[in-house]
Amino acid sequence: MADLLNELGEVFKKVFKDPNLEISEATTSEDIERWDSLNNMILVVMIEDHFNIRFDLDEVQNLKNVGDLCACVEKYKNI
Amino acid sequence: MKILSEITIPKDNADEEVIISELSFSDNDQVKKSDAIMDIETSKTSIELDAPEGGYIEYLVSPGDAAVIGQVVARIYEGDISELVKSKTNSSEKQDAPENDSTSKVATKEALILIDQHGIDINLIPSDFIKKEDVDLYLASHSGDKSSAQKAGNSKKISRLKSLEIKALSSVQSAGLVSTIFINIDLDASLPDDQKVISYLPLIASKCSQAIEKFPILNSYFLDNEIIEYDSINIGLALDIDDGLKVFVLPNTNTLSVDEIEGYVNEGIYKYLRKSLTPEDLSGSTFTISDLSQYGVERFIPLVNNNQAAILGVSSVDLKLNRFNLSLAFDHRVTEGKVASEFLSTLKGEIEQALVK
Repeated sequence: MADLLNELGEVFKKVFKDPNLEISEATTSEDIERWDSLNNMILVVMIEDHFNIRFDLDEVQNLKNVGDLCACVEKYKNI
Repeated sequence: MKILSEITIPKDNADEEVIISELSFSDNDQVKKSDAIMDIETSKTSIELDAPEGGYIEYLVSPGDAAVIGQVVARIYEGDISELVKSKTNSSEKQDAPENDSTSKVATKEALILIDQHGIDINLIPSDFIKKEDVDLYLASHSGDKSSAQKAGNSKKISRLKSLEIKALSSVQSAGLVSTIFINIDLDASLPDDQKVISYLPLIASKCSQAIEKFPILNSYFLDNEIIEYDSINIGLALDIDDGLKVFVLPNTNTLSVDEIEGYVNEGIYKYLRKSLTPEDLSGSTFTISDLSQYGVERFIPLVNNNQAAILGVSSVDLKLNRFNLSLAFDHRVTEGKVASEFLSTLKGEIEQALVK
């Protein structure tokens, strides 16, 4: 999970244009100022492209934090 | 040569005119049923036209051409049409030749582009071998300060897509009767946990559609001295990320919950980013919301779309004052400031009420 979190962290840095951005499993949209609807979907698209997966958008909408996102990526990577 | 079918510009797009962006085959190529034969661009999206049946294709348009709804842009023939294509090529060469002969003038490519852009009669330029400088000189001596020869800076021609967008937005604005009013939404509260969303947009769209139910005049448009009211409330969300302005539609917005709207918004943004918005996603909006809240905008005046009465602009949250601004631009031919103000005050009340103290 730690490797996946690091990999996701790199995607977050690109999306939010912040090379110093640090994320943890507890990180939520409230912790990142520019994490709004638009950037959330840009994040989804960039994660999909990075891991070569396709999410179910309804599922993504219900994720509460980065930990949930990690679990979701893990799930789709294994499909 | 039996024609099996004619391909026309479909009606299911938001514009009267489209631009042919790409042809997938050449004349007389054999195509199969459902092959994508060309791409067209509307002001909102790109659409692929498919072959309704297999056969030999003849194109009646070229990339960059404008075409109107219902116009035949290609034909599918039963058999080989090499003779037809040959005669078409000859005829087009013949059509070009007399123009050159009749004027006895030759022009460089740069000069021809300028002549075309300014609609100049080539015979009026006093040179037999016309260069760009000759056209600039002609423009400088025949027009005012805005001639290309006197423009400061580098000029760049706008894309055909942009020109369609301008056309779609010009309709209401060109009437010169658009007013804009502003109101602040106070955020001295936050959404309850079970309604948490990462943007105020779904809530605004929901409350806006409910306010429109009380002020249906804002869900209408002006046409030929009549005001036409829509039967349903379909809010369009204007998006401009990196692929041009597109307005995707939340059908029957007033019947959707905030969560459902959030789902539609996410799906719309996702499809925009994946360039997979369909004409259906982009057609039928009756009122538009333009959200520039991601860009640190204090307030702005949005442009009212064609066949609509108003547009709501959403600006960024002012973190010091803990509020954000809503702007409502409206067509004064449809309604007036009093009604628009009452609508905006109602909307402010609805949004602030949804934020739990």
